[in-house]
Amino acid sequence: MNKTLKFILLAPVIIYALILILFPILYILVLSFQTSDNYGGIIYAFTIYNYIRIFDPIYLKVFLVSGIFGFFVTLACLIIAYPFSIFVSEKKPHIQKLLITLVLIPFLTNSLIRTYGWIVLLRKEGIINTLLSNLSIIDNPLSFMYNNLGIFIGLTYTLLPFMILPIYNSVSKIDKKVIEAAQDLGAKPLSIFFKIIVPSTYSGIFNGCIMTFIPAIGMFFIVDLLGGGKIMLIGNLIKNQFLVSRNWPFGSALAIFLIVVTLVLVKVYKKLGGKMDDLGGF
Amino acid sequence: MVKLENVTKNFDEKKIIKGIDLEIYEGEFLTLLGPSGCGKTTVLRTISGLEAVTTGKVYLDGIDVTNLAPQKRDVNTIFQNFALFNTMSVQKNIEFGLKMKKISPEEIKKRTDDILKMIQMQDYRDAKPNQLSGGQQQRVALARGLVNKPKVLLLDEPLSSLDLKLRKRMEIELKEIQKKTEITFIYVTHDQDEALSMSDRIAIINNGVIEQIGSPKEIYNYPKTLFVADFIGESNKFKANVQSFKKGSALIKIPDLDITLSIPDDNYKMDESLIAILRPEQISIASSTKQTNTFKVKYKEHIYNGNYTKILGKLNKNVISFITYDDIELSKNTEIKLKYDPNDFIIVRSK
Repeated sequence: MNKTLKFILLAPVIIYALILILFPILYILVLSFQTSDNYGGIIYAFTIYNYIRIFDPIYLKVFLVSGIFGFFVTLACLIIAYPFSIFVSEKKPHIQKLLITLVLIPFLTNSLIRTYGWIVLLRKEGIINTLLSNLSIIDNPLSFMYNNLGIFIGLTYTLLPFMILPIYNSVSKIDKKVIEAAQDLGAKPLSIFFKIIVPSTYSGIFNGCIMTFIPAIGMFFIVDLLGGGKIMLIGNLIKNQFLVSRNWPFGSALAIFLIVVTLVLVKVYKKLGGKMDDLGGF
Repeated sequence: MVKLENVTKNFDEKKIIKGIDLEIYEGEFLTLLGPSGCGKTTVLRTISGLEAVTTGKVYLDGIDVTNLAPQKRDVNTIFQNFALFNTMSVQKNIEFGLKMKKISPEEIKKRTDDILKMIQMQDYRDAKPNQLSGGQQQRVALARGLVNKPKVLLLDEPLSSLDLKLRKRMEIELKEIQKKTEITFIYVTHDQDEALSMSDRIAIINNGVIEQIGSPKEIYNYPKTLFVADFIGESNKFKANVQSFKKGSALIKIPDLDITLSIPDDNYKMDESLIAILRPEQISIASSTKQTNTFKVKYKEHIYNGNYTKILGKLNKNVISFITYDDIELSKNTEIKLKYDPNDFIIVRSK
């Protein structure tokens, strides 16, 4: 294929990436070094104050809480996704395709709408509480939402596919013969799991963890809808700077900070010998 | 050392092994040879325990291991594509089996060092398998099995992914290692050259049954079935049929060669159709004066092979191939007079 044709075919993607991804990020980068006036306008004067402000204890606490939430959501996703991936990879190929399609189907629905779906399930008069009290298992309705548990359930549910896909990808690549070789050499199931299977899937695990952790601290609407506004994660903080406090420069600085954290994690992953291919073409 | 008693194996109703009886002696190099899909790998896997038998018994060193898990059988397998642990170094790969058996660290170190020395890979102990060449990976795979000093080492087409030259060298190395360690080797291959050059005995497997078992010479010189004759070496086949019987021998006629032979009777029926086989090297060009045990073919083509030339000629509808070491030039359809020794005929049933 000649170069001109190649360029013409690629042009839509390049234009799309430039206009909708690169320019906005550059704009945010520029904004993050400006100041906001009292009415939400932007004063164009270079400053690094926004970045210093990130390390204010109030915001550091948001980072800490975000980190804790992100950690537990990621851990929960990992604990659910790993056995599921192994289960799927042991099925016949067409069953595997079917199961992975089922994992992907929720993506076809807006995640905001799915979160509303969880409200129907989890609220005090919701399906789960009604069912449990009708079965006389509980007397008083349980609080599944407007608390940390609600955020945890919502985030874990929404982000699970991001954990399943990379892990399934690396688990399904393991050569069955290698497992047989381990059996043949006298390894019992537990040894096979920890010495052969897990080390072969490190890249998938790390990839899944990044793909889960970063959105977990950024998905503001789940925190808003299921957390009842009591808890603030980084995503909410950034959203508030743009929509409530109308301090776009500080919001931009926070956003840039989050991007840098992500890039550092990816860098660490590469340093540890991870392959970029496993990050789904990241 | 290993004994299979009427072993069968079905996969979803499909019969892969149809009743195999096989006894393998201590220190022997036995090859299971057959075309792909004949069930030879499955036979190997029933011995390692990676495949459960449908019916029958497997004995290892006199003990019934039919229902024993692969972990508990004192055998190790060398897999077709090596199946090395890519996340571990060469040394860790080799130590794996010993660690699983909870051998003492000093013993593990000693045995690992010894085996690394034997395969001449001391300098690569910290390398990862995917940094090694095919031949090196092959040796690591071999060491990983041998280091456990198993009663039997099972090799599943271990040379098939190597190039020809390396394969030839590994054949020699394998045979030497087998002699040195005195471990019983059961070797699976579809390559007759490998089988002939390495084995003490060969079991020819076809369609889930053993067609013939014997030393390489027996198999080549005295094939018992048409399949074995065809599979090992090249065969010139002549139709023959039983004419009459006389005191334990049968008279058969080969119309194409216009000859009648007397062969030992093997419960043949009258008029039963048989196949008489001559190997290419048993046919040669005859001098013009020779009259008996000759036939004429029309020259078709020749295949130059370095130290010898294979010539293809036509006899009625059959293509006859034979070998000559002389440099000859012939034009198409020239008649060539060929000779043979009637004692060389291999007679098998046509079905």
